[in-house]
Amino acid sequence: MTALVVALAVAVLLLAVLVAGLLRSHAEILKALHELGAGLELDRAEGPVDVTIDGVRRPRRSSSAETADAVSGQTLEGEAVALSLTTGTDTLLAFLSSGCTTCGAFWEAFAEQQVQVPGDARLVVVTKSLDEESASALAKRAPRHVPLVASSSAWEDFGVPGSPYFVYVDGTGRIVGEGSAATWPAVATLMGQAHADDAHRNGRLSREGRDDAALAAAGIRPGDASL
Amino acid sequence: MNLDHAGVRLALPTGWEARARLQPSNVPGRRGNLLLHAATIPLPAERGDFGSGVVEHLGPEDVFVSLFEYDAADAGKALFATKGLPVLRPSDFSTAHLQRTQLGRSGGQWFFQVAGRPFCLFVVLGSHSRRAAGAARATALLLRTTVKELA
Repeated sequence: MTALVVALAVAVLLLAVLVAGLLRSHAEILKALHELGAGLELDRAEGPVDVTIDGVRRPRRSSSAETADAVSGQTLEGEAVALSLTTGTDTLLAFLSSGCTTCGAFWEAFAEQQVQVPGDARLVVVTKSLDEESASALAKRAPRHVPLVASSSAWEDFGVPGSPYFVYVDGTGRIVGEGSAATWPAVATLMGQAHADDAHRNGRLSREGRDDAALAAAGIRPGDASL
Repeated sequence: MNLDHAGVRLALPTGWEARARLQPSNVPGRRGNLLLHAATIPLPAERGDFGSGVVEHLGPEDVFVSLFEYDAADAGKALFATKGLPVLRPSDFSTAHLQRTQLGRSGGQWFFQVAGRPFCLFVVLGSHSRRAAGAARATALLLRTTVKELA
């Protein structure tokens, strides 16, 4: 009997040591991931954050409309800009910050001369306005060949919950996908999927649907006086 | 969507985009002159004052507009005697009015002053044979443009 009790006590002790070791290694893994900047910096977002990193979200905006005409703001060179999202060219809006750890991977990826953007979309980086951002820090990170617009109002218009965040807009100003991930290849995959899904849906559009799309491309929306 | 810079305000029609900046001033302390570009295609960051880098990419339906401000002291010169934003007529456009002749393109240039500020307006159309539609599209932009006097 005594031997059984001793054996059980030893077994419990060994299990306790094993559990403690597992907990410690788990904590070390989490700490290492945090130091590497993994995870989204969405903790600064106001209100609930509805972002998935393993799929493309259903397009959503702060306003009721799911279309966007333009992004207006300022460049780092002091130029006033109003970039149209309805010129017929798809646009990928990359909402980034200079101080966000996760954004670092995107600044580096965009520094490559030939950034492969899904759907051959135009890549546009959108930061907060320069009274809320560091112009010098942005100048160090932002590649010259990628358009950058500093516009806090764009962040509000698109209901951006935090950085990094991406919105794919087709050439008629229609938002076809949005969301976030920790790396550019992951974002490119998600946005490529959104673009492909949209193309697939459009491929099955009726003639009426294609006519609507053509009218939207010409700037004529439902309720337009010319109709 | 509006673009408001240095006293010039554009209410951009759908499908237009614009960029505006002040050119470096020749006189220290004086405000630089405005250079404004608008187009119906995406405007690259690097482009010439009169559209090089942009007009090469215009499609037949597209339009490029450059509004180039001169020194206020030039407003008294005969070149800028016309007052108010110009009315663009299709017959004003010519394939010979381009900085560099490009097959099928068409251009027009106007000198005028608004609110005591002298300007040159340079417009390039993607297709000379479709200049009536192009001129109307450029006019739609000018009708939504206001220029204010600056100190």
